[in-house]
Amino acid sequence: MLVIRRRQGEGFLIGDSIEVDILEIEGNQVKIGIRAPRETAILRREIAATRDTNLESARDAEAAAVADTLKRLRLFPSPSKD
Amino acid sequence: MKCIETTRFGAIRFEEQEIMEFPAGLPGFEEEHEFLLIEVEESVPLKFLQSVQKPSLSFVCAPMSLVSPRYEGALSRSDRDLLAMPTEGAASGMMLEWLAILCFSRPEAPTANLLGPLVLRRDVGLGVQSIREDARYSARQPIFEACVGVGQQVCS
Repeated sequence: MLVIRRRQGEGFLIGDSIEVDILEIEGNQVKIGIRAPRETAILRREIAATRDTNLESARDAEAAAVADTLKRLRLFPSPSKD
Repeated sequence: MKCIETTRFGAIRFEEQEIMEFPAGLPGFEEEHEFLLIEVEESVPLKFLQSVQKPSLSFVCAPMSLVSPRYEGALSRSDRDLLAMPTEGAASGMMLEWLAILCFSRPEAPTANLLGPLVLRRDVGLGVQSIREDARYSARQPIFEACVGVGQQVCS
């Protein structure tokens, strides 16, 4: 992995068409500006992880697997209501 | 009364007001905005999020309190807006339902998405898949590993 150090107001380029600006640094958060071609998908990593599991969840839920899970889940202690 | 022919349940009838609106869709399914939350006796405690527009699409869900009993929910400002929630203080007593979508890619070891829970407001028929901004929880938490220690005797 390439690691570079940048300050607020600085930036860097990825290839010819993607430009990244470090707009603001505050505490443990960084505000980043990205200029990229419209067709370049930019996703927060956690959203990409959920998109991938959503696609699999929609595809792979065979009735047998669901029934088996149901059987095992029913052995769970019931959640406490608080 | 409306009727759709679903892949998982066959024909189902429902009233317009039972539809849960997901204004932002779900990641990977951004065009799907209307779902039914299906709860049938033989599948308790599982619930199913069934797309109205695409009858072949459904998600198997479990209550968060079951798959992650100590789960601490967190909602971003934009998700609160999507759920039409008022300001912080006034929202504290609001009834939210938290569900985890289950994934069966390895049928013997199903996982739950704790990173992106479904958060529903049944009172107004709004829902959102709320992606956490912290890294406290996994998008693929094995559900039958989570119970070790809590209910070891029944899970082994």
